[in-house]
Amino acid sequence: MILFGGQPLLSLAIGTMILYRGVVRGIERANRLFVPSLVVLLVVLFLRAVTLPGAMKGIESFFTVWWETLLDYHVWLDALSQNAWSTGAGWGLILTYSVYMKNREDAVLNSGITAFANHSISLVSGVMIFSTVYALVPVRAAQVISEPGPLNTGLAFIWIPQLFSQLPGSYFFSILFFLALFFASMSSLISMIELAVRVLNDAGVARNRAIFSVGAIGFIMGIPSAMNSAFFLNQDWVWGIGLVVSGAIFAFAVLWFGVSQFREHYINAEGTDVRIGKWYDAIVKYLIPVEVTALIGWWFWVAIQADPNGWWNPLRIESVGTCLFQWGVVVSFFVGFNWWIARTTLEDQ
Amino acid sequence: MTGRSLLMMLLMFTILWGGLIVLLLIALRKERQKSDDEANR
Repeated sequence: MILFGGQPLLSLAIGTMILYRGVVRGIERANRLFVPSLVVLLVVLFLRAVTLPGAMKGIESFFTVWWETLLDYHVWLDALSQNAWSTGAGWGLILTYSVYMKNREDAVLNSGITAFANHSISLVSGVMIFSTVYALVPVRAAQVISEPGPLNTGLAFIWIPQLFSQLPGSYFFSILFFLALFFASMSSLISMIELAVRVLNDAGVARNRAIFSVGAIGFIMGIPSAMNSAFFLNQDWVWGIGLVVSGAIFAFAVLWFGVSQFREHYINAEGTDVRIGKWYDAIVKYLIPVEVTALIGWWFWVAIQADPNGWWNPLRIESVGTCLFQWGVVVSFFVGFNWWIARTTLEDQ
Repeated sequence: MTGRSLLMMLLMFTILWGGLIVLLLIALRKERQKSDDEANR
């Protein structure tokens, strides 16, 4: 029986079907209505949450900086992997978007809006959730909020319905909110599936066969995480940090290509109004490599010190060994696959 | 609410929402310019 996370598998199946049936444009059109409704509902919920009795304690807790946590590598890794995940930077979604963007579109403006909108909405949502939890369960609030692991990412699904119950027409607005959330997330999921589909497609695999293969492989590989929470925790950890590594690989590809050339040729392109300066080169050349190396090195060092006999064990949920083993298997597979794809694509050309 | 938390809240909202509003205004201006250019053609 699927005990845990059956919904992600269902969403993956729906996303694959949408691509397979070629109704992506329909989803994008629906999102023109749903995304603004989501933002309006979010503002209504935010206003209700911050005016609940006791909400101020939640807001205070949300904006209190615990300086000592800056000495914990876990906080930095979680923050970086969250950003790599939520902005799409670590996924390499740049590849999907670049294929469908016109030359005259403003890449800098679009990326800036994506990042700022993502963080602005996260900020409002964070205040909303903290206010609601502190107002509705004041005694256990700190415990509810700080429960570790990906299981607390479900906070929105637990507390938003409770927040709606504090408003008139809660049943109708709850349905509208989660429907809008579903459509908004579906468009992100489609771009993730499309990323892999496009690569296979370019290598000569027929589009429908590529869609079916990506959907089926994702579905099958997702089953263990859906059935076992320990497996899910392991995958969330390994591939959460994996996104940081993947983002670093993209940065490395830009370095390989030539940072200034990439900036002038692809970023500051024809339709760009907000031009990116030389500071971008310094970020890609120095900041990103130093940040990734320092964070991962820091994590390895602390993990090895804390568990000198078990850090290498690939069967532990959050060990260094499990990450190195799984990254190693996947990287080896993709290096071979890349060689095959490059050869096939060149032969086709 | 302590002064530091209040300051942090104002800072975060100003940077993130301020940045977003500026970028959206630039995008809006571009869209208007594009439709003006098309109308002139």
